[in-house]
Amino acid sequence: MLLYTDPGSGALLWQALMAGVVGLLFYVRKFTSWFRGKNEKKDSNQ
Amino acid sequence: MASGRVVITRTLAADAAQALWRDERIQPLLERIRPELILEHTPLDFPSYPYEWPAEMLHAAAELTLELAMALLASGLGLKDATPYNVLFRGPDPVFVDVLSVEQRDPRDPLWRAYAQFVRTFLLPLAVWKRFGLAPGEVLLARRDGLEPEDLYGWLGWRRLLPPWLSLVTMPVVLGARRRDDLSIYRPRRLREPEQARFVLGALFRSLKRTLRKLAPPPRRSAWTAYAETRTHYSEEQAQAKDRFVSSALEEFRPRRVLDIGANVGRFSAMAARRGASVVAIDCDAAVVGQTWRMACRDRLDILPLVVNLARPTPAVGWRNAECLSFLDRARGRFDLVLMLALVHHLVVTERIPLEEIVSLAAEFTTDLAVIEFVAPQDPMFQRIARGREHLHRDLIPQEFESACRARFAILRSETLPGSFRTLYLLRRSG
Repeated sequence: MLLYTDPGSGALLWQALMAGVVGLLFYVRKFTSWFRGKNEKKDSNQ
Repeated sequence: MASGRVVITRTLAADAAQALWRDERIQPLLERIRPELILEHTPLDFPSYPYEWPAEMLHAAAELTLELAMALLASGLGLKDATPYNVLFRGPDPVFVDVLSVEQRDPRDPLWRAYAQFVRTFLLPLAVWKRFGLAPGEVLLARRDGLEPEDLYGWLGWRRLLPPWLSLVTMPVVLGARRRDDLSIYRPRRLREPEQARFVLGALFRSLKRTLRKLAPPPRRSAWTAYAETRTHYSEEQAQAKDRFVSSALEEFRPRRVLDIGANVGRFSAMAARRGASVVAIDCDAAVVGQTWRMACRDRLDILPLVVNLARPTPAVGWRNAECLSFLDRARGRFDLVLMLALVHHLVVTERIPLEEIVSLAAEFTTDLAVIEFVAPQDPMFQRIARGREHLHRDLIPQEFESACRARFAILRSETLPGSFRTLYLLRRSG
């Protein structure tokens, strides 16, 4: 994707840093929902 | 588009497109870019620019931009830029007009490339208004692309460690200083999963929305915000006579387009809008223009309030002064009725503008009618603003004003407010 507007330099780096942190949260959330789903399945089987 | 928040846009009809190709001014451009498609959008009545908006309107334009970016995210689209110039106002409502700003998003890109521009042109001017009282118009008239974090860093002192400055100014400045010459930072970044990129962007937009909410401009007070409520220089009887005079002119002639100059909090603009007129209300005080905008939104009135000082109207701006038209170029001949109420004495005393010039400019704005209030030097408000210089205006008598009017208008009727030195004139343009 070509840049159209001035992306700043510091603002771009700050956004990338935040994106890294939130990107990790995505996996944390994915893992917790997988884990929760697994437990719920176990509970419903009992 | 159906909600009216994005301007209605369609493909230009074949005959209209051919007419463009025949237009000598446009033909060279079309030959250079060879467009596959030419679009047109419905025109908006009166274009305005971000440097004419009070903070309230800049905030509304920011909200619209962000809501659109969030709505597009779900469809795999995005905004390639985020500037207030993508927004115009229809009455008090913001309308997104730059449909070409919408683009297909790289599904694995977690960054919003227009983020920095959104911060520069919306968030920082709003934050500066809220914290320092510097009006967005003053910032954006001189700086098309808003405020750089570096511009603000030095002003903030210890505040740079507090929100919102920490994330909007300090972190970008600190990080940017370390990698100033590193061009690799502009290379595209891609995550493994599109869903993850969407998650990151969604979180970014929600965070910007929270910041924007905190930057919502509170109603401000100024020397003029209480003017309409207090109006101590009008008795109840005088105020009622003035209202009657203006409303009878509105009832009789039913103007469709009204320019209210020196509108204050929009009392007479509302009067005109309630009778079906589309009103542009200008005042030089950003606080009263903000109040007018709130009132127009609350009461659903077709009023476009703008921060414009008639004595120093918005100039033409941009490359060769040709990118954005001056206020006068946009306003000339655009209105059926011009209101200049309790304004002329300010222009005469404070700005030293001759009466003939004021009347002449009113005649340039209107195609038909004007209602002008003449305030004589004996009036207490006149004396307050003259500050001991009444002798400079000894010759300012109603007859002199009438003679200035007759050069451009016919006087349809006039009425001196009972027991006052104020006279209202209903004028019709002659010639």
